[in-house]
This record gives sequence, C-alpha cells and structure tokens, in this order.
Amino acid sequence: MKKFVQIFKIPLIIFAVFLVIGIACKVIADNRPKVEFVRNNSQCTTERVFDYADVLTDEQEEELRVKISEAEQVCGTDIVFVILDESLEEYAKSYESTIGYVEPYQYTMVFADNFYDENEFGFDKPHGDGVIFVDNWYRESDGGVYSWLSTSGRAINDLSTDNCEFILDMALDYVEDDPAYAYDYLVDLIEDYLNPNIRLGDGLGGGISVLIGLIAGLIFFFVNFGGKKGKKTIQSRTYVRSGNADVLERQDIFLTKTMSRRKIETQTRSGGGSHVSAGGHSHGGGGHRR
Amino acid sequence: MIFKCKNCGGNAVYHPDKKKMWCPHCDSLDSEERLDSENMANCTNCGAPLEAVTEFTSALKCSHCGAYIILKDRVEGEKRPNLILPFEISKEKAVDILKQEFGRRILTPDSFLSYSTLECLEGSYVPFWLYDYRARVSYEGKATKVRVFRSGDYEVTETSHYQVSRKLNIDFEKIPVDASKRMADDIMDLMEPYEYKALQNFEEKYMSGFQGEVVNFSEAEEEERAKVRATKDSESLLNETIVGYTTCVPLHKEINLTKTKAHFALMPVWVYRYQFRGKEYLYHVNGQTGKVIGKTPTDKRKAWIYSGTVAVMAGMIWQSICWILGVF
Repeated sequence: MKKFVQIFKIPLIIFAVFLVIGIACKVIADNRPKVEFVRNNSQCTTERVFDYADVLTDEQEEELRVKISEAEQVCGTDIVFVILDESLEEYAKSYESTIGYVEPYQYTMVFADNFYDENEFGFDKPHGDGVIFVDNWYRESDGGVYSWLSTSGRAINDLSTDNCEFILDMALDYVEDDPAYAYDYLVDLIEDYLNPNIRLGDGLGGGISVLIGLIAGLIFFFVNFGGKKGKKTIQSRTYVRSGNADVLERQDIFLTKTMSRRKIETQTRSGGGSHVSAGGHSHGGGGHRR
Repeated sequence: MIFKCKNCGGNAVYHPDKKKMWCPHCDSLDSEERLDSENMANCTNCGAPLEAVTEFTSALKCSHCGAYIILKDRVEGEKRPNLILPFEISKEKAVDILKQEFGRRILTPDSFLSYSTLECLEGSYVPFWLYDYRARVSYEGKATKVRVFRSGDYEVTETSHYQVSRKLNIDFEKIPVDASKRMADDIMDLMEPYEYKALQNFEEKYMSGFQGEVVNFSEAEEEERAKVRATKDSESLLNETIVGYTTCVPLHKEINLTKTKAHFALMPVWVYRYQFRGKEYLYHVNGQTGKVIGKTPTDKRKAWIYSGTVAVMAGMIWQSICWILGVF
C-alpha cells in the first residue's frame, strides 16, 4: 500500500483535479439552453428526395425523407438529395458563358446550384441556409462518375470544401453496394457538422473513454511486465586484430549499362471553394469522383 | 589449497577494488600465505567434508566455515588455465548495478533484491576457450547500381552492371567460447565483450574469494562455435567492402579458417539467483565491465492492481476532458 501511494500520489492528484473540473463543466453544459430553429421559408417544395435514377425503392426513399426531416429540424438547414443517371456535360457547358469554363467534376456542381436556386430552398428564407447533394450515376465522357455537395447560407461556413469532400469520401465508399445505407450515413455526417447543439467532445466520451482506459492499462501492464536486460554489444570487428581486415585485392569492373523508361501517369482532382451560381447566389461545397 | 592471513590466520581473499589480497578479518593487505593440501574431499581450513564438489569444480566456499578453498589438482597440469581475468567489480558494486537496473521497476516483488536474497549473489570464474584464427576470404560476384530520374513525362531507370572481386586476410584474436555446462551459452555470449588488456597469466590467488570451474568441454569440442562466429564476422567484414551497389549477387565466395592458437582462460561473472513463487530467475553481471543480463520478475497481483488503477484513471481523465470541451 505504501509503495502504491508512493507511485500513484501525483497521478491521483491530477486525476482528482480533472474529475472535479470535468464534473463542474458537465453541469454547466447540461444547464445551458439549446438552440432551436423555426422554419421561415414556405415558398419551396416540401419534397427533399428526388430520385430520378430510381436507385432507391419507395420504402427507402420514405425512410430517407423521414431522416432528412428530423435532421433539418435539428440543424436549421434544408437538406436536399437529387439522384440522377444522365449526362450533365451539355447542360453544364451551356452555362459557361455565365460562370466560365466548366470542368467535368463541376457538372454536378452547376446542376446542384441551379436546382437549389430554382426551387428556392433555404430553411430561414429562399436561397437561405441549406445543403443539396447531387449524385449522378452516369459515367461522363472523361470516365468519371461525379457527385457534389453544395452548401448555401450558414452551411457555407459550417461545412467547408474539405469537410464536404471528406464526408463524401466517407459515405460514398458504400454507395455502389448499398446506396440507401450510404445516403443515410451521409445525412448523419451532414448533421454532425451542422447541428449547433453538438458540443466539442460529444461522441468522444462514453465507450471511447472505456476503450482509452483499457488501452492505457494494457500499455502500462506490458511496459512494466517483465522486460529483459542485456543485449548483444559486440560487433563483427570486436575480435579482429587491429580492428580491420587486410584487403589484398579490390576490383570493381564496369561491364555495361541498360535503360528503361515508363510514362508518368497524372491524376486530376476535383476542386472546390466558394463560388457564385448562374442564378447569382453564393454557394460552397465539394465533390467526389468514383 | 587455501590462502591464509599471516597476521591473524583468517582466510585472505582477492579484493577487486583494492586489486590486492585482503584479509576481511584484520583488514591486512597482501598478507597471504598459501597452504597446500592434496585432500580434495575435505576443507583445508576446518576439515569438514566438501559436499559441493563436482567433477568440474576448481574453487568453492566451504559450507561449514565459509573459507574459500582452491582444489590443487584442478589447477595443475592440463587443467591449469593459461589466463585469468581477475574480478574488477566487487560484490557491493554488483549489488549497486543490479539495484540500478532493476530496483526501479514498478511491478517487481517486494522481496526482489532484498538484503536476505542478495546473500545468494556469488562470484564465479567461468572457464572459456579463446581461439585465434586467420581467415582468408575470396569473393567474386555481379553487382548493379540503379539510378532513377525523370525526363519530361517519363521516368527513366538506368542500371549499371559491374563485376566485383575481393580478397581479404582477417586475423581473429581470442574469440571467446564458454566451456561450462552450468552457464547457458546464450547468456555467456551476451556477457561479452571482455577487455582483454586486463588478462593476466593464471595465478591461484585470484580465485580466492570466488567459485571456479575447470573446462567442461575440450578445445576441439567447443571449436565449432568459434568457427561459426569467425565465419559470420568474416562475411560481415567482406560485406563492408562491397558498398554503393543496389544489388549484389555472389558467384563465388570462399572463407578458409586456420586456427593459430587456443587459450584456456577464466572469466569473472557475478550470479544472482532469485526464487519467486516457485520460479527461479537468474541474473548475471560481468565481473569486469558490469554488463547485466536478466529478466525482471513480475508480481502478477501487483500488476493487476496497478494496471487497473491506471486504466480507471486514464478513462476518467479522458471522460473529464470531453466534459470540459463540452463547455466550448
């Protein structure tokens, strides 16, 4: 017991300090009023899932609608899903006179921005806070299948281009095998970023705390368990008189030279950042190619 | 045979710190007097039977009077060592070294390195064969150097081919191989290196105060281990001369070893035996350099309690950090 106290005296003090401050912070956070949203835009349609490609069954579409409706109330932003299976090349190119040169990864971006603007989506007002996800299953002429998550209003700041690309990468990993699961997962990820009531540290406690405790305990156990002392400290020249070999002959004769070459493959990557749509409204977002 | 103090009649022993014969009873230095006895069955000092003598024992401590006895027949003629490396680390220093290495380990049993268990720490001269070899190494092979560079939209790989040949002479001096059944080969290999500058011609007085053995194996029986080491070291030294190549394929490699000499030497080792819950743990300290070999014993009950405490504290600290972050 004496040795235990001697070893753990300082860690126990640190532990107690963290625990007291932690509990106090939890009480403060729990008593803080939650942000609640009231919808102000009644001009846009109430439909949120536009499955023109018939990728989802009616039942799956309905489940997605319910999920999106709940997420919208929590986040205070509109969430719109459009699923296509058609070339958007010609459509997007037709807007080049307004928005400049359009690259293949931007075809879905042009469609998403226009769809959002034309339908006057936005939770707080037309063209207000919201996100629209366009997933086009058609393989464009450059060989890419493109998706885009476009943001508007408050969502432009809350969901950066990097965030959009990251969550699309995460969710669309599953889209080929199970599109319903991938879209459902995408709504969860969007909610994680746009829900103002999510506090820093949410989702990191509970089970993860138990896991971290177990890992720390195991590390402590294995670092201090047993342990051999003593390793080989001699070298190949330890028992060589004068420490070196006597080199009698040393020849390196050049014979021939051969050469081979291969073409370096270059990869293009989808871009992003804040931009203005053909309708003149600001949008953010990021894309994904598969 | 025993070394007795001329001043008080006590048993004079070799003192590693003073590097002299010393009488622990009257503190006299170099006051020893050698008393020979042909009787290997009884203690020269008290006459009690020497029970711990085995077929290889050359020096031991009498279990009755505590005097250090050297068996005359075992240090004469063919059994006489050529060389001895006298202890330079005293028992007190060996204890300090062990405490420094293992004393701070958290999960060791409380009795580990305690005063009573350290009484079992004994100094022992381990028999070694030291082999001298001359190695003649010849090598021929094909090697390549690869350079990769970019030229426009292409990656170009340029491979240069070479013919490589080497001839080396390597003189190995005193490659040590332990010749004791009592000591594990791998432990004795890890005890190296010894500093050979301190090697002395054998004298019996250096054994007084320590245990000792004659060689358990003949020079020929142990030679293979030395040959393997000399061959491996020759290959390493050869490889050091073939550098700067991306690949190297040997076409001909020959290592010829010629033994030039073999010495029988005694090397100093401190051995600490510790028993915990029916298991024996062995610790070896090089009696010249202080190098330590051993495995820390673990008290499993203590390990569970301490690890559990760390787990609870780490988990709760992490949870507290999450709660603190929740305010922001």
